Amino acid sequence: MKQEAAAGETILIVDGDVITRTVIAEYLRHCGFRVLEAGTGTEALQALQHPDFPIDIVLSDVELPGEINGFELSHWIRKSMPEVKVLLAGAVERIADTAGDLCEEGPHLAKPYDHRLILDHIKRLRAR
Amino acid sequence: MQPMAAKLILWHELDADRPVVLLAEDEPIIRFDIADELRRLGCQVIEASNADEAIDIVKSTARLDLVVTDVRMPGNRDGLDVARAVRQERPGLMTVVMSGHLAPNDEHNHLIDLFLSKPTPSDKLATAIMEMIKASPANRDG
Repeated sequence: MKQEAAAGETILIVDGDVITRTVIAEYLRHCGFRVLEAGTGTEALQALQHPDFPIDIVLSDVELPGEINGFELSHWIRKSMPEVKVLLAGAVERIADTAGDLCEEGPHLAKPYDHRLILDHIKRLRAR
Repeated sequence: MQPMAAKLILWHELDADRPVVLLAEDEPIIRFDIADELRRLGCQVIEASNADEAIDIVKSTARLDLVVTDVRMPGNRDGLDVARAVRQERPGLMTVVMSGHLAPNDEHNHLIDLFLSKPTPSDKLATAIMEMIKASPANRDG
């Protein structure tokens, strides 16, 4: 499994549920990625803007505690750090509704997470 | 609560052989730094970004070998509440408290096994944590 992940790639997981976040993060570490974890959109922005932690891919829940939700985080990344790839996750209906309203593009994942699907999506993002 | 239990079983299955450290710290950059260092030394690290998350983990995770917590964190509860939860829920589990503000006194003695003033370099902190884990095999719970 580890050979499938590119060495040195860093994924930021943003999820307000500590257990969901921990399980997914540990799975992706097991696959060979470096993984950072944020519990809120604000924490994610701090991580993204810190020079010591260059991030390649952000996997964020759409609904986050605090002032910044996943869509807002995604918009900020597309505008300010277009080289960072974003994968949004959430309840399918919620993503479809809000994504349509915001003309948001890009891959979306349904929650609860399916680990193999996450890895599959990440591979496709890396291939772009 | 059932879905949470299922997730925890999965977490438990992922790595049964490495020590599990719960790290509660609201500053993500400090948390990444310490967690990276602990992982480099062979630990599994559960990262909590506030006291509520940490207390949930203390109450529900199948295995914990050590808890490391900051004191001041956002929300209604702080790191001393995390330490209280550890004493109440898992009395054998050791707690490391780190703070740049707290001056530990006699009231805190029963809650804190090791106090580290912040900032402490992450490599020194991680080394101290590993020494505690090695000295306390009985901490492994569940």
